[in-house]
Amino acid sequence: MILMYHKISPNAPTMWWVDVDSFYRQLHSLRNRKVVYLDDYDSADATQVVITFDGVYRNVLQYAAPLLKHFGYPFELFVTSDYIGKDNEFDTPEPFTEFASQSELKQLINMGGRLQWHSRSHANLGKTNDRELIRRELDIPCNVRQLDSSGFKWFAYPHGTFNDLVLDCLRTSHFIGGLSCHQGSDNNRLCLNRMTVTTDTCLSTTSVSVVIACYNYGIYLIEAVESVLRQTVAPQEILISDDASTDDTPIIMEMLAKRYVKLIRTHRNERNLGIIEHFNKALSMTSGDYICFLGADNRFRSDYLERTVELLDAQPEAAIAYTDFALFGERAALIAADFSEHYPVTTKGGRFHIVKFPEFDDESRRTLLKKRNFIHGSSLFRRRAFFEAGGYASSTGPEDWFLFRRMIESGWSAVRSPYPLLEYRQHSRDQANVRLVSELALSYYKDECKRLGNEISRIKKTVSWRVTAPLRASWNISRDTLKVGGRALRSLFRFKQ
Amino acid sequence: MLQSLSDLEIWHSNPDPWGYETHPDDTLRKKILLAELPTREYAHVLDIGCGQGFITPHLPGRYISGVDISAEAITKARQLKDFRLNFRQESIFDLSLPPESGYDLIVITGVLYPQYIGNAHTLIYRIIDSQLADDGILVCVHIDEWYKARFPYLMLKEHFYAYREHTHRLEVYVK
Repeated sequence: MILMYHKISPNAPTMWWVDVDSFYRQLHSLRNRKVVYLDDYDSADATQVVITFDGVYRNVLQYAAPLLKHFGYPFELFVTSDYIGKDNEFDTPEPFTEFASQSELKQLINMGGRLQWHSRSHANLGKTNDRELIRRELDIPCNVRQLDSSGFKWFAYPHGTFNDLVLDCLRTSHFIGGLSCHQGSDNNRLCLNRMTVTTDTCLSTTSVSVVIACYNYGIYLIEAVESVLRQTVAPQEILISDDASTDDTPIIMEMLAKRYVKLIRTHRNERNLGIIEHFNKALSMTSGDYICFLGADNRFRSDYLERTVELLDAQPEAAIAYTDFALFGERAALIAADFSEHYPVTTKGGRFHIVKFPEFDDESRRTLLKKRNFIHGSSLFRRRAFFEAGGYASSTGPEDWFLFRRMIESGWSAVRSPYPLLEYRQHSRDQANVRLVSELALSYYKDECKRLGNEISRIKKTVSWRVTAPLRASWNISRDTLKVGGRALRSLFRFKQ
Repeated sequence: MLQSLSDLEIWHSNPDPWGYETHPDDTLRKKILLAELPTREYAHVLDIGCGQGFITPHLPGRYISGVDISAEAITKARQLKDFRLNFRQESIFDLSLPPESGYDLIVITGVLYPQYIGNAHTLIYRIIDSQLADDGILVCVHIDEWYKARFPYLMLKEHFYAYREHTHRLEVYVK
């Protein structure tokens, strides 16, 4: 697979731009592929990927290159020499941006880039019969060629188009191959195809579902959900599953689902099912290849999914990716002391107690099967392994330990991420930091009230003196919704007293 | 698109364009920020989005750098005379190299909004990580409605308080 990018920037105004966060996620999806230079590319090898940029624009140096360097990926830069150091004013209606200068191209080479050729003037060669014109466009000026002694062996057809004459000229030139974006073939080195990557392109081959299980932890729920929403690599779905809570959980989860329609779904059990039945039911309502449960009173560090997903992607024999965790809250020190009997515990910032769990090897495997659990219940696991093991089931010990034991006993492995990616709250219902959490909930309620207020204003504007029945109905619905918000706010204030 | 630099320069051509020095909510938010800083010895401190230096001179630390994308803001900040202070015109995307040991404390106030950083959170996380020392403290203070960041560090504290017609979110992370 050969990827084609043009501009990387904080915003993506047209399809030729990819925003930085999307670019980061796309690069993360390639962690377990082999990212190579074109010289090393074998189109028959499905694990190989080449990253290419056409232009080359200055924003590639500013926004893309630091991330490519972070991931350690090589990349190809297809230069149009007439544009070096200039801007794209000619390219209407594309938003204004600048091309890299020669010194900036040198910086890109130092960060892992390799220069290739994209013609002198970006002329459309697909319709020309002028051999001289084609040769001129294929000719690389000396001052450009000397920028990269390892490069300029590959040609990308301007606008992706070519004809037999262009192919013939390329074949008889010094170039060893050519790239198109829509007219090529995976089998012909002279016109390999590229995939045009946009902000919406998903390169991941696996999907993730996060289940946030709640029972009367409404006051913490927003914090838990937010820790998933703000992951550096987002899940494909979030299910908030309420086991018949009697607190504000239903109001809060519906508010969240309305705000994040594409990502969050909710489910509520009519009666309290308890952990085993509740978790099995919730999981059956998800579709991700990888699943994790987050207790509504806990939080993920924002790189939890980024780090655990890449471990399961890399190790198909592993059913579970587990992590270290950081205990916090009133009872953290007490619980940490218990853990310190078996595992190293360090403190961080005077508030967190970090428990370091063992790597998964023969010895720790035996420990897990015979003695004690070190894989926390919010670990990421494979859906397939879950169903093979028969899901959560009753036992004398904790249900998550029993599940993971059965996965391991059946031959699956596990893998550890050595970072405290789960912030694990140790608390009682009355502890002081409950008040802090309610501040976050209050902020969400305020936003919701503002939104509903705006909605009511909008509806009011559309209501004339002769109000039609449907409009009157919607006005009443909005008033009722606001009442619900008001009730929730009042309950929070009660809570704070 | 991102707010243009020339637009910001127009704002900062006036002293204290957002009235921080006179608004009681800004006096309060400064007090809250300073009160929530973990108590320890800070050697190198970085204030990102320092503007004209509303917070910078009040931060603890032996060497304090204030950076802002606006040259006008930095010119005005440099009028603050304190041997600990050093102001530079820099974008958060283009910070100069940190001291060898990294910064012990980085404060980011009112910077991580869509009009300044768009959807470039993941790059900002990498940039800050290259500046912050191990065990260093990162403090972010922003209007909650417009703020979508969450750094990949453990969060020591999180506070919300009324600020003008908005809610402020103050986060304290430890690396």
